[in-house]
Amino acid sequence: MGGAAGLSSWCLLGEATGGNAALVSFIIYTIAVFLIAAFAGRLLKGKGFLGEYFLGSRGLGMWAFAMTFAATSASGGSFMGFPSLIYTHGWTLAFWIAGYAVFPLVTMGLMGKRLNQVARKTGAITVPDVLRDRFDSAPLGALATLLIVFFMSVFLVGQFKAGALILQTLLLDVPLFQTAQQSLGHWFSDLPLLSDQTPGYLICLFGFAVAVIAYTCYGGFHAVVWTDVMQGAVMGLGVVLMFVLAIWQVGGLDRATSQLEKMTPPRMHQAYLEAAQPAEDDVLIPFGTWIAQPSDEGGAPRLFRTAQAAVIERGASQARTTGAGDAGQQVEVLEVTTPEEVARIKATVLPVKISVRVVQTEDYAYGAGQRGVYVRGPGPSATDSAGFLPLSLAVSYFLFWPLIGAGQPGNFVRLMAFNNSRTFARAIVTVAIYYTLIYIPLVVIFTIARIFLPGMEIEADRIMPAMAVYLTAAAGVPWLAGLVVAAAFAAVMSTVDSFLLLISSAVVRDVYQRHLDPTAKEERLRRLTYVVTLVIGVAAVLGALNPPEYLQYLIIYAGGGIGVVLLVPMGLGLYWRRFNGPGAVAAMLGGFATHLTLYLVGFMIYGRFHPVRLWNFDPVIPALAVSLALGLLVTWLAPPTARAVLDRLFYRDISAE
Amino acid sequence: MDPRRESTLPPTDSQHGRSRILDPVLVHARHETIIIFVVFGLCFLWSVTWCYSTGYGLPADQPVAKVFGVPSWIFWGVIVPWLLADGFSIWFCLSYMALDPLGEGTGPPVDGVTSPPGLSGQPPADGLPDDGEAS
Repeated sequence: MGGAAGLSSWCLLGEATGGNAALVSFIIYTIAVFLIAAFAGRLLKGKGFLGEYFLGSRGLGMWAFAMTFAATSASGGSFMGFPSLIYTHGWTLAFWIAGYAVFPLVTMGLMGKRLNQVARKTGAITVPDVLRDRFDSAPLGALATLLIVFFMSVFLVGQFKAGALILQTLLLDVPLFQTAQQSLGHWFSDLPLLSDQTPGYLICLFGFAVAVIAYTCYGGFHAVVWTDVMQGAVMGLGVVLMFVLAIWQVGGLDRATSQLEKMTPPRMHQAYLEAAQPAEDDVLIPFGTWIAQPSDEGGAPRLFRTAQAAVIERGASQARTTGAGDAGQQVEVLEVTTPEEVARIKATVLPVKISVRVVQTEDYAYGAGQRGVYVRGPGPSATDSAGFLPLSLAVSYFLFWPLIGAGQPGNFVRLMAFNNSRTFARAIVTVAIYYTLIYIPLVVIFTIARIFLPGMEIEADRIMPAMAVYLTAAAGVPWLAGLVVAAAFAAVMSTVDSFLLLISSAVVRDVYQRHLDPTAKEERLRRLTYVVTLVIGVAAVLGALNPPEYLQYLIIYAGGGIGVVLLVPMGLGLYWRRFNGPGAVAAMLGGFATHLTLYLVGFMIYGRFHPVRLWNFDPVIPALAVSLALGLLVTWLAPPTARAVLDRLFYRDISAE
Repeated sequence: MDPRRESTLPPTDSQHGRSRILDPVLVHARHETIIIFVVFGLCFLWSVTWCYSTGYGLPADQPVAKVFGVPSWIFWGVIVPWLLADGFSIWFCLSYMALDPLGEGTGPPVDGVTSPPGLSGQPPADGLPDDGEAS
């Protein structure tokens, strides 16, 4: 949907936020982040550099450990993609996310204590360190490094892009930002790499990148963890605030659900926008314009919302789209089909009366014209005739979230960093309560958003900031919108900093120190770490300048893929003595190959980066099954790991006791 | 059996003239992992069967029952097991989970010194702090 046009509608929303409040919120937030990083940087002095920089010397206390775990797991998807899905598909998203009920218990409890112990025994500070030492295999460590760098790099590019988009939304109505866009626009347009993006996006991308790279680079793991604590607090506060405002303003949840029950999914049309007479002057029809007109059959009136900006030029009577590359006359429009909403929503006032002549209609594949689809399973779907969440997908997702979360390297690193078992136990409880306070309210907030902000399907990814602006403006506290939107920004930032450090640790520790220069002095490692973190950050920015067409799908692929690759080798490696290096390699490569194959076959069938779903299961499920089966089979065929290694990791010598 | 109060060590295994036992942290963690998997499975069965049997295929003309404003299939199929899982987590972590000492970081040094593959058993040289429980 038209990016520039979509942003123009944000100017209208932005007017409600009250001057530079968003900018002030953001500046305060950024200053706090830098102060934390500066303090963390001082801790690096006088300690072993790598152990402190990449793992915080295994000294995380309860709050730091819990909040960094929670904030890192909740990426931009939790505050941008998830609200968008709730808005589009309704209450069934609560079922979609139901696996989060056991997410902290599974992702932390399954391996945390044992992983922490093994990392202490071996002196490991990175995930490949643990695997290499557990299986006594340098090639296995190198393979793990390679796969982590590959998957995390894809993820990092996507998160940089998300961070830039959120920042752009936050600052859109700030006069200083608008001036900067105008001033720098000409300059950017002359540069080959930058000319494809809007100046606003580029400014935000560079601003986001400089902030996050600088504090991560300088402060290392402690900076990441402590900023995570602050970011986690901002996220929690933002959600709770929105939850209270939403319930209060809608008049209670019972009322909201009853209204939702009456709703029917919208229809998408290709249509001509026509004036009765040739226009005397250019008439701009902005993105998101509401157009009402009587029904063709003399029934109830119809209500449309433009999904593209259009213009009727002087002397013409038919509109054309204004988006880049769209020269056609037909305009994409959404039609609201719920009679109560059609009666309630007022049409936008335009200089001339516009009528909509529908050429082509696209109804929802599941749920079209049906009341109650937003409060029942499987939820409406524009593309899938089985609905949004058929049973097989519900099963997939319940297993997907906890299991894939349990295999994320970012989580492994945190599980290696807490200081003792008591901290670990209390942190699981804290994260469980935190997630309950985040995810269930998010479902409530964005089902209510359907009532306050109809027709947002045309820009569903922006429902989170839109709802923040709406709720705070309606409550008479528009300055709070900056804080609420900062929650989404914090979610992205807390994920980006962790992944940045994860990749740089893989390069410095697992590639350089292990393979290239094992005797490297601390000062050299320190300088190399700063340079590598900087280079990776710059590379991610370059990737986000012109992100690949299928970036969102690549992010989903990378998130699932890395979990598939690491879950079985790490899980079995920690608990099963007989599991050996060849079995771990087979599990890694088997899971990787199966997962990738299902995506590649899907690409050949559908012509886009979309996986084949065997029996409608997400690719992660069959890939995990193959990973497990191959791991067991090859382990059975190959000899066990060296006895000395197993004795050290699985036994305790009590001869002297 | 409550591992917090467990005093018996795992069975010993005498080989090469040395007595050894399975690492108690491994024993406890494995035991806890099995319990977590059981709870995961129970939550999975509860949520999927409840939601599918009561929230899918409902007649369009019949209003959806609500509990505190939440569709009842979501309330009983998602929110209730979620809260019970939270309750279990609180009990499990604060009252049941063994508070094992996790060691003092006795692996090979990590900074600026050769780190051969495998385990050397050398003392740490990176200033990693002791595990609090161990001290």
